Amino acid sequence: MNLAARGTAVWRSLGLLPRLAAAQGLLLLCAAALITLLFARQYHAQLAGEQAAKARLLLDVAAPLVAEQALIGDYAAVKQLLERQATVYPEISRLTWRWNGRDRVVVRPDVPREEVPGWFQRLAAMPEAHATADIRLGGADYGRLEAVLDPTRAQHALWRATLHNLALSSSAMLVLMVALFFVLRANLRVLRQLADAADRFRHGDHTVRVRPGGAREVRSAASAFNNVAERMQGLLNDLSESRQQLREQLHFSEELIETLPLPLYTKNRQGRFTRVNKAWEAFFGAGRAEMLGRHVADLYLDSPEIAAHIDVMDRALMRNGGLQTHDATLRTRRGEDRQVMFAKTTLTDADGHVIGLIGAITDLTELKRAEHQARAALIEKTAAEKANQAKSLFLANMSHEIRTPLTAIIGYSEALLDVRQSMAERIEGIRTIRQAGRHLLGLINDILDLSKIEAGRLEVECIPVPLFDLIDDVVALARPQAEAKGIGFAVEPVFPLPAKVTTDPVRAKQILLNLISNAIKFTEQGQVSLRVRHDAVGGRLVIEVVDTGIGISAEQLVRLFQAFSQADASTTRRFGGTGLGLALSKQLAEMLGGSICVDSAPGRGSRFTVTLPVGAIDAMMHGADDIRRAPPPEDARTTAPNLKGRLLLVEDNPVNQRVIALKARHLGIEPRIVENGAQAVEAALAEPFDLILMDMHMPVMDGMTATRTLRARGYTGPIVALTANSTQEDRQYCLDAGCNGFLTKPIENAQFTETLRRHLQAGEAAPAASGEPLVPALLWQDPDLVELARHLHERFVAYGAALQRAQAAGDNEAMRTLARQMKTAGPDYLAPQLTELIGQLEFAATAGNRQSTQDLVAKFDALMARLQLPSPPDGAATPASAADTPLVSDLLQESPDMADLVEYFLERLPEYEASLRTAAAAADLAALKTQAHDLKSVGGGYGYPLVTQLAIRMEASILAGKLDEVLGQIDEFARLARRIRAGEATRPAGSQAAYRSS
Amino acid sequence: MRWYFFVLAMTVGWTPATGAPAETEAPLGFGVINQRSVTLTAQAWNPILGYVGKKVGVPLVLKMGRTAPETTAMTVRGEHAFAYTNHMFTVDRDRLGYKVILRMQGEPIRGAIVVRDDSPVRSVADLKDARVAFPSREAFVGYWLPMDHLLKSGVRVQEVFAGNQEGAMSQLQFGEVAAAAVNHKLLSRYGQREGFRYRVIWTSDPYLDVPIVAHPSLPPRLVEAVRAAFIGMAEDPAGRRALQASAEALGSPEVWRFVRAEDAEYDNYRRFYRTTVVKGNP
Repeated sequence: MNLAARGTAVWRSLGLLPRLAAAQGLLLLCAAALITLLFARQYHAQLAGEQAAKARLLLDVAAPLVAEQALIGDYAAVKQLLERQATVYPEISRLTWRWNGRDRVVVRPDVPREEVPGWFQRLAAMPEAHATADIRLGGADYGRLEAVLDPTRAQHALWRATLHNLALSSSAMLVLMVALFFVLRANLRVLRQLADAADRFRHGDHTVRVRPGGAREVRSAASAFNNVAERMQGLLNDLSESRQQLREQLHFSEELIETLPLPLYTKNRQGRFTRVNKAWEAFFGAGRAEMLGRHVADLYLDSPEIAAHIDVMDRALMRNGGLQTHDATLRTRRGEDRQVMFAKTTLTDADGHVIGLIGAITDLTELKRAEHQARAALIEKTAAEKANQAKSLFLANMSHEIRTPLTAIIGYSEALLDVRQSMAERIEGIRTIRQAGRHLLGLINDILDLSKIEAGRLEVECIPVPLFDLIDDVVALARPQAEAKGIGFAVEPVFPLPAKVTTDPVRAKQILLNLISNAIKFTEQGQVSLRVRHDAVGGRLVIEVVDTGIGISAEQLVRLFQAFSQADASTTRRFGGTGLGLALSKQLAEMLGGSICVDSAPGRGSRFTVTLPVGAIDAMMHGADDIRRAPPPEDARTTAPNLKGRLLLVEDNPVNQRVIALKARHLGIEPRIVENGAQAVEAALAEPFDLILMDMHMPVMDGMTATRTLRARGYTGPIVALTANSTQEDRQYCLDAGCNGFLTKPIENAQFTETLRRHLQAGEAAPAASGEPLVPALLWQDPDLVELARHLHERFVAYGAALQRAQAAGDNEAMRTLARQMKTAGPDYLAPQLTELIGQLEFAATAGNRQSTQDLVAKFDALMARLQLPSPPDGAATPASAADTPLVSDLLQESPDMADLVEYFLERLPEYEASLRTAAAAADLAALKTQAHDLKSVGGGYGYPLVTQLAIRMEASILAGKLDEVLGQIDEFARLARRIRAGEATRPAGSQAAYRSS
Repeated sequence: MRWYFFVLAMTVGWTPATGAPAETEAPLGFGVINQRSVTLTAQAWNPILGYVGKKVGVPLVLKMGRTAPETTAMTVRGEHAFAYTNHMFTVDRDRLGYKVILRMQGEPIRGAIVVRDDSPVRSVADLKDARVAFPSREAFVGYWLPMDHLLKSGVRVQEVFAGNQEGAMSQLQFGEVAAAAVNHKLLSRYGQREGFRYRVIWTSDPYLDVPIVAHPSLPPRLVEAVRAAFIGMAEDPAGRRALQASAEALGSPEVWRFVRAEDAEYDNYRRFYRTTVVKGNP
């Protein structure tokens, strides 16, 4: 026990290094002994096995040799053999060959003795190796061979190997021990430094660090210590800084609460104020000294109901927790009413129990006011944006509206240049261009009117106008629109009505036409009605335009009369239009002292009501029979007047020269034409003119200067300005320069006629005015279209007969139908008066005014009787003298640069003739007809109307199947062709004479 | 061991072959002329002798010398009751009275002189003064027949004795000699086994293969029993196993089969020995 206790004490006194060395040494010693033991055992077994194997090998080798010698019977040879084996294997202690029951040969060699300690021999005792083998050859027995091997040599080898192994193990372990010692000593030094550093850190040396060294684990431990020390040092520093910041923040919070402009307060659970800030004091006009510890009721002494409301809300908050906001209207101590919002939340202690609440008061009074203003501004802005959008949309629409007719104009103009077009196609093209031009003019007038109204520059006049003149004019234009669309149109006068109204007839018609056009546009089926009644009390004329169209929604109604606005953008796409009409109408109505209102709903149609002041009433109409229309002006209503006098046309543009000259000639005046102001002054001063038509924009000297010059030189004759500018300013400018009037381009026939009539004398033989032969308008445009004019004339003569019959039968409906048919048959090409007459007839027939229809049918007949057509040309009757006269193309008369075109026609003439003759020889009527038809078109087109006339006759002959006539006509064509070629040869010297003679 | 001891033994204790073998029967010597090594000969013949001994009831023990002359001497001395040899037809030995009783089934044997396939030797005449290997001076087809021909052809050669047939072929194979004189029957088997290519330049007239001869002193019943046992081996499963073991020991695909032979069938041997120019004894 004493020894054990002493051993324990010594062990405890040892450091880690000696302990590890001792334990490690002991373990290594044991390991060396064990390894040696295991090795010895293994080697012992190996040696024993080797001994046995050796004996077996010896026998395997020796046995067959012994057998052979035994067969021969040579025993001496067997003995020699066995002895030789014994020298090869020194371990052999005995070799015996035994046959037939006795030992024939026995060999016993001396085994050398080896030095092995006795204890080892006993410890690793090894038996003798003993082996036997039977000797057989081909199944025959030749005895048995036995070998015995001595273990002494094997034991010696085992002893030597064990000693060697022990020495090797011991050396290796010693080296290991020394290496371990050094490694451990180095690492333990770092551990001692760690312990020392930890102790210093504990005593306040926070900067102490250990230099990492030694094994990875030791380095990690040192690094971990350093990291912990670093972190802790940082935390201690942060803690110190945090305390300081906390103090500063507390101070800042105090100041923040006090300086916040937001009234803040806290209350305890009993609802008593525990804290308020300066803003609160300022808001309520109450000091904190006064209010702390007091109840809300003490704050609102004059408004107990407010105090009660707030108290109820506070209690609810403290009961339910969370955040509470509510609006309230408070009255401060200063007596101001403020709209505020309370935002409150509960205050809790560390255990989460509610100990009171904190509240903030936001004064919303100013905010609400600002919000109200902002909303108003927003509405305004939105409206402005909408207006802007509408304007953009309007521009887009305008662009479309202007482009559409322009496209038609350009397209048809280009088509007209195509010489292959027939005259009928040309006329149709010209009509389209005129229509498109008028549409464009109307559009521009609308825009100008609207801009004038906006600029306050539109002037209206007030003159007494027969009511039904006004209405007739409107209806005359509106009814065709309605009928073209297949809907009905009705005029519903409610008598009594004033015979005349004092207003601006142009603007009033503009308003009504606009409303009616709109109504027709938006009505797909049903009808449009124009109702007229008199509001005797208000002294107003009430005109309603009622339709059965798509109607207008309430929302659309609001914007309906705004400029640049249709019901919506899709409407524009569907129905077209600029959105200007209603705005313009409304403003015009207001300018006329009236108004427009609308009553409509989607799907139920619309009713636009126009009220206009009637003015002084001199007579009332009580029925249709009282209707008295103003006598139609003598000019346009019947026929063009026959005037006389001298007219000077000052115009630089050749097209305008021709157009105006044509119009003048139509009135019986042959104008003298000069091209600029200087020539005009010279001409006017040289000889007096009854009228000067003065273009304003010309080269050399403009119209304005020329007028001033003439007036300055004492010229007193009338001068009428021709201007494309239609504004009041322009007109005034013209008048100021000395003009007596003005005509706006493009010049309308009616205006032109009226102007000329005003300044020139009527022609002679006034009674003949109504009976004077009229040349069809078509021939004015192209004197060579006589065939076409004749054809038209015949149709209208037939219509006239039908009219007579319908009138005799009193069939108004038939007359109306006839009138409509005649309108589309092209009466303009015969006489513009005819068109107007037919329009009036249609109206009268619709209104059922028997007297009027009678008058109008009579006028129609009279007009038709005046139309005079040249007698049909007869090729055979062509004077022989003219037969060989050279022919020059009209085209070259108009524009000599068309020579190439005419030459092309000339080149084709023989081809035409040959084709005609070939077809005639073959009696091919179809080919002849095609050729004749072709010639009819191209002849006039290339400026040879005689060719067209001939072709027309030829066509008639072909249709009648008169081939002999056709042959004659082909000869005639050949003569014409010769004349044409001759004309081309004489050009340009004889061109004028040749043309006239044709 | 003298033959008469055997005769005595036979007369005292012989039992018919059909009877059970007597345990105490004294063994009879069986000589085999040295055609192969002693060990190979023992491995080939011991299974056959074991079977026949059991069959006839008298153990047959293989007895032979290191060389053919030794073995022939043993036969001449009467140490063999039966012998597988063709050395007993010389004029002197024929007088000893050994009688042919059996032979191995097969074609007659011939003597042959062979050279290496790549040898320039084309005929026997080319062998003049050349080294020619023979199995032994006693070999009939291996020495006597070829040497007789060489001598009668006037060709003298340097004789090299290899001890046995295969030894002579080995000498040729390893270039020790220009030609070898051997039993024609062994040639193909040797060449096949050793992968040796050779060319035969001469062959002798045919002679029946080596016979088994019986000592004239043996009782005819015993001789007949032994003859019957050898002839019937191939029909008996035990006999077939013994013959198969023998063939395996020799590494030969052919199994020996013994057939009856008459002494007169070997008279051509006797005639040869009477006319040969070769000196000495086989």
